[in-house]
This record gives sequence, structure tokens and C-alpha cells, in this order.
Amino acid sequence: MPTIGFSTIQIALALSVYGAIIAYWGARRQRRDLIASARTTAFVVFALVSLSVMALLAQLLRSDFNVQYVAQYTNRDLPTLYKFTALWGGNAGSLLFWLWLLTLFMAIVTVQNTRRHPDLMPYVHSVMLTVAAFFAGVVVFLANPFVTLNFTPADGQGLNPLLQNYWMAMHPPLLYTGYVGFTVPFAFAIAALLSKHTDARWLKATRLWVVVPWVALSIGITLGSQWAYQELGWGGYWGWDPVENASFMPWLMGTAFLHSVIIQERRAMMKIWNIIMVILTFALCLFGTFLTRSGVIQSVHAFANSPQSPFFLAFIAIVLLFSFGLVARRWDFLKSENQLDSLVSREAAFIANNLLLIGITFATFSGTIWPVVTEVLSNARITVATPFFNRVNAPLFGALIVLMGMTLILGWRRTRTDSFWRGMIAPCLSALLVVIFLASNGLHDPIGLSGFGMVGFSMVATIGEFVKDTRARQRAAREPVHVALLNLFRKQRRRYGGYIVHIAFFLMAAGVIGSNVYQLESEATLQQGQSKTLGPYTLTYQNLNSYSLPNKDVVEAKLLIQENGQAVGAIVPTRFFYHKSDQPVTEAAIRTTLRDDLYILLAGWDEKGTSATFKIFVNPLVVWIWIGGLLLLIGTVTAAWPTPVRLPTAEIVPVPGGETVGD
Amino acid sequence: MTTAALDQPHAGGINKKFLIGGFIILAAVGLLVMNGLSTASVYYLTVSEARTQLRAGGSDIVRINGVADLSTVKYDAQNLNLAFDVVEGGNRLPVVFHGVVPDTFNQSESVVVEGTLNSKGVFEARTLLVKCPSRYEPVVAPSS
Repeated sequence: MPTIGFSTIQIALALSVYGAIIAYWGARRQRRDLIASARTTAFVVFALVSLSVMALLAQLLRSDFNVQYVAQYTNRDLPTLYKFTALWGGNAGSLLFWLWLLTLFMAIVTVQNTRRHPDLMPYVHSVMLTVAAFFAGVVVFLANPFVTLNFTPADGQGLNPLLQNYWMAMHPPLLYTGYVGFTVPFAFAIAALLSKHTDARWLKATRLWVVVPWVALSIGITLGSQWAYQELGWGGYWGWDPVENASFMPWLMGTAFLHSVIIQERRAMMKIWNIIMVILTFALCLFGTFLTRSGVIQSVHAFANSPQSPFFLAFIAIVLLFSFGLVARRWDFLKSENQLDSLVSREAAFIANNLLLIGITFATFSGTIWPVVTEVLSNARITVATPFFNRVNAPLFGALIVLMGMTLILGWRRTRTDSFWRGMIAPCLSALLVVIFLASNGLHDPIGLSGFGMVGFSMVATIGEFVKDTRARQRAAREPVHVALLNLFRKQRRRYGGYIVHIAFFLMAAGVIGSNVYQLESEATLQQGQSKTLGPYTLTYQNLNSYSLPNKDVVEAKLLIQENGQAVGAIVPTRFFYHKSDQPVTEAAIRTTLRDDLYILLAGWDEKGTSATFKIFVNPLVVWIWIGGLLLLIGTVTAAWPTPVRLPTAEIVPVPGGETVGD
Repeated sequence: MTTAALDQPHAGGINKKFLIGGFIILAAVGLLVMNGLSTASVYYLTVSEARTQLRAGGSDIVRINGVADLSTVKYDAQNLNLAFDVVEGGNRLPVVFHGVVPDTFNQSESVVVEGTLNSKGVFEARTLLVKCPSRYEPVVAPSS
């Protein structure tokens, strides 16, 4: 079995190189036979990599511990689900999985576009097969998951109990769908440049291939945060760790790209810009994949230091040099047909939004690689942590949020002064009301007040769009409210789906601000019957209980909760001791309400359980981050779900985060 | 590069305004980053560097990377006080940490502590990060 898996990947490598060359050659020389051969090669490579993945899966599921990878990441008693997910649990397997997704997407893209874009496809094949060749090369020469041991261990090392979590199992494939998915728009952008067909066709062909990776990254990052929140037991969900940043940067750049595309569609501007954005997004996806396994930057998350680092860096450098060199050579083809008319216009706001997102990416990037930079420049490693990222990114995100609201008040091309000020009234008033409400409730923190004020402003500006447009329909079409609202979505799903994504983002922002600015934190060693008060909650320690389950011992403490003097139930922070592992697992007990999370860890206890020590957090509004994540998914699906009906272009109003109906 | 798309071929008076607007945003970002780097930087030292470069009782916050010597670990679970030596290349430095100890602490080969060296020459960590080099296993534990 290991031999099958490995030889298929070797053949896939050879064929990828062959296909990449003949696809390019065929396109240049107009050789239909070569183009067709490259197309076939794309499918064959996909089939071969699939075989290889199946071989690895078969080994994992059969617990073939003779294979080093299987022995390292699974054990006999591991639930089948986690044997399956071990496919992407380790470095070598995850690279193979990356490659498989790439070839899968290549096959889908081929089916979708061969007839529609015959001029672009050979180049798309050439680019995607080149990327595939790189990853296949890494798997074959540097990270082979099929290496066998010269003995067969009785059992494998198993999977860290912390990672035995459904959400965490889904986190890597979602991130990879994002990373790999952005290869498609990148390949089309390069194809547009190579074929000199630099109109907006490459953008239209890849619309869904921007939205799907983007939403996969969004959800992947959210799930990762939720896992960290539930399992890592420090009361937070995001630590600006290099590996977290690695997934955040392509998301930021992808978000910028998602929006700048709309300007090219609407106003035939920003051609060069869009190509640069997609190149940078793809480069950041590669950088993210690299960072996770490089060991270059001290991260608490990283895979083991692995020998692939120089190759990844070299590949990223080649991608950037080649892409930007090509942009420079095609500069004359990329001149825009239109120019900006006014600073006070929606296009201008989109550009400002893009610049802010690039700014946040740049800030995050600087902070992430700072230790490396300082080591090279001054021989001393200087690192920055959470305070840096918060200090720099919080104001930028604040500006971004305000801009998200302002954009809706501004018109395309230019804005009439009276309509601008009329649009500003409700959002400004609501921002003011939010601030007054919070201040009168004793919350005076300036960061919290301004943050919530900004969110209030843009939230109302966005909801205002729904109200205004629904009213307009009610009047014009004489429809009742609910029919009018539904018809908004029916007619312009991309636009209103996009607004829903924005509302989701505001909810998440509220959760982030609330939990960062107003978090309460305490610890207490309590005798039985003794109480501790934190915020609105009073906790009374009842007793300690311990028992054994087949695979683990459990110690749990019971505390009674009073909220503002009212008994509201009990909470049971727990600690597991898995028999297979020396490592205890502290399960935070979390009581979630819409207002706040009560988050308790069992930190220690005396032998009889007469006293126990707890770490207690009150995290305001955290649940809105998860609600926002769900709404973001709903909004994106609403916006992007393909429909067979083609609507007249006049109806298609492109909107952030959305996908045009009917394409 | 960031000004590329703004710099349209028919650069007119209005596009100059855009260049200025874009420049202001980028300058603001640059200033924020520079300010952040100068105020939130922390030196990253090895144990031997810490022993030679850190002044006892000083207020410099640094990060130290090393291996926790598990034979020296003392943990008072009632008061959440942890003490251990961090070692690297024959050098060792006593560390104290107040807070919940990360689950993977006992298994880790590598730890990162952030804090200051007190007047007794003991490193007072306000953050304890545990790194698991063998696997993809994230663990973070900043304390109060």
C-alpha cells in the first residue's frame, strides 16, 4: 500500500511538470493537440493524487503502524473519525491533502471553463500544474507520508486529546480550501496576462472561486478561535500567534480583493490593482502554508521544524518575481478605461477600504516577521506580541468599520451633499445613543465607547439600506413589508447577502470589543460552601467529584451560580486524565448567555476536595462572535448561491462579499 | 505598488487628490506600525543571553526561550504558584509564574516565558507559553 501511494505521487509529479510545459507551449503555438493533452493531464494528475490520498487513508483506517505517519498521528483506540482526519493532522499528510485539493479544484475548473474560456484555460492549466508540481515535489522529496519503519510498533502514538474535537477536525480542511482555492483566481489572472486578454473576463470566470475560499477561510478561522476558546483554557480565543496570523493575512488580502473586483465590474477601473491583489493573496496563502511548518518564527502552534522552508521561500519568491514581472510587461494592456471622479464617492470609499485592509495586512505581517527582521539586521531577536497587534490594528479596524457604513451613504461616482447628510443622520444618532447608553451604565472606557459607537453607526447605516429599499418596494410595487423584503433578496441577492455579511462582521466586532475591553478575570481558592463574586456572578463551591471512565479519569468541581443574587444553576469545571497520555486536559466550563460568558477552569484542589482553586473569567458578548460567524456563512451563501436565471445587468448591483446572481 | 492603480494613465487633478488621500491612509498605517514596534517590542533571549544581559531588579520585559527542567518543577495548586528552572546549553535560570499551568506543560520540551528578572535573580514570568515541537499542538497560557 505505501508503495502504491508513493509511486502514484511520483507519477503525478512527472505528469504535472509535463502538463505545465505543454499547456504553455500549446497555447503559445496554438497547438490544439498539446492543449488537449494538457487538459487530459490535469484530470490524470487529479486521479493519481486521489489514489495516493486513498492509499494513505486506507493505511490510517487500518492502523498500519508500519507506516511512520500512521504510527505518529493515530493509535488503535482512536475513534475512526480522527483516524480519518489524521490525513491532515501531520505535516506530510497535510501537504498531500493540499495537493489533492489543488488537483480537485483544477479538475472542477477544467470542467467549468474549457468551452467558455478556451483562450485562458491552457495557461490556467500551466499555472495550476506548476503549483501542483511544486507541492508534489515537496511531498516526494521532503515530506513523504508513506515512509515505512523497519519495524511495526504495537500501537501508534495517538492524537493529542486537545485535538480530539469536531470543530478542530474541520478547521484545517476549511483553511486549506481557502489557501488552495485562491490558486484559481491567481491562475486566471496570470492566464489573462499571458494571453493578453486582460478584460474583466478572468474575474467573472472566477467569482465563485473568490467567494468560496474567502468564506472557507472565514469559517475556518472562526472555528479555530472557538476551539482555542474552549480547549486552551486561557479565557481568550485569539492570541496573534504567527500561525493564527498566517491564516488571517490571506483573509485580509482576500477581503480586499473581493471588494476591489466590484469596482472593476462596475466602473472598469483598477485592473492592475485587482491583479496585484490576487497575486498578493495567493502569495500570502503560500506564506501561510509555509509559516505553519517553517519553525522560522517561534510559534506555539507550529509543526516541527521541517526541511521544506527554503523551498517554500524560494517558490514564493519565484511566484512574486514572475507575477510582477509579467504585470510590468503587460502594463499597457492594463490601463483602465475610467478614472475616479470624486473623493466623495463610493469607489473612493472602496479604495480607502482596500488601503485599510492592506494596511492591516502589512501591520500584521510586520509584527509576525519582526523577530526575523531584527535578527538579520541587528543580531538581536526582538518580538512583538498581542499589545502591538491590538494597538496597531484596533484603530485600523475602527476606521474600516466606520467606512463600511459610510460607503453605503456615498453614491457611485459622486455624492450629492444633501443626500449625504440626510443619510448620516440616523447612523450618527444611533452611535451617539450607544455611547450615552454605555456611559450611563458606568462603562467609561474610551476604547469601548468609541468601538461600540462605530459599530452602532455602521450597523444602523446597513440596516437603513434594508429599511429604505423595502419601503421603496412597498411604495413602488404595493407589496406588504415581508413580501417586499423577500423580493429585495430575490432580485439582488448578491447585494443584500453582502449586507448580511457586513452585519455579521459588525456583530463579531461587537463580540471582540466587548470581550477584550470589558473582560473580568479572577482566581480563588474556595473551601466548600465558600463564595466568590465576579461581576454579576457569585459562585459557591459545593464539592469535588472524581470517577473513572473507560479511557480517562475525571475530576469535576461543582459550583452554584447566583446572578445578581438569583440562583441560576450550577457549573462544573472538569479535568480529564487520559489513560493513554500523561497530559491532563482542563475542560473549561462555559455558561453562555447573550450578554456574557461565565468561563471557569478547575486549576487545582486539595486531596480531600475540601478546597479547590478556580480561574474565573467573565467574557462579555463572546457569543456574538460565533453568531456572527454563522450569519456570515448564511449571508455569503445567500449572496453566492448560483441560480440558473440570468437577470438583466441593470439589476446586478455588486456588493462587498457577494456574488452576482445568474453567472 | 500600492499607488499603482491610483496612478491612472490620464492622471488629472482629481487623481492627485486621490494620491494624497491614499498617501494619508498609508502614512497613518506606517506611523501606527512604527509606534507599535517602538513601544511594544520585547527582546527575545536565550537562557545564556538572559544570564549575561539581564540586570537583576531591572524593569526590562523580555522573552526567554529554553527547556523546562521538569525535575525542578514545584507547583502550588492552591495558590497557582509555579516554580521551575529553564535550561539551555548548561545555563539555567529559576522562573516563577503565577497562574493556571497549561495542560501540556509537563510534556513540553520547549517553553517561552515573558517577564522580568527580579532583584533575587529569579525570573518573574507573567506569561508562560508551552511549545510542543513534535506535533501540531497549539497551547497558550498568558496569565494575569
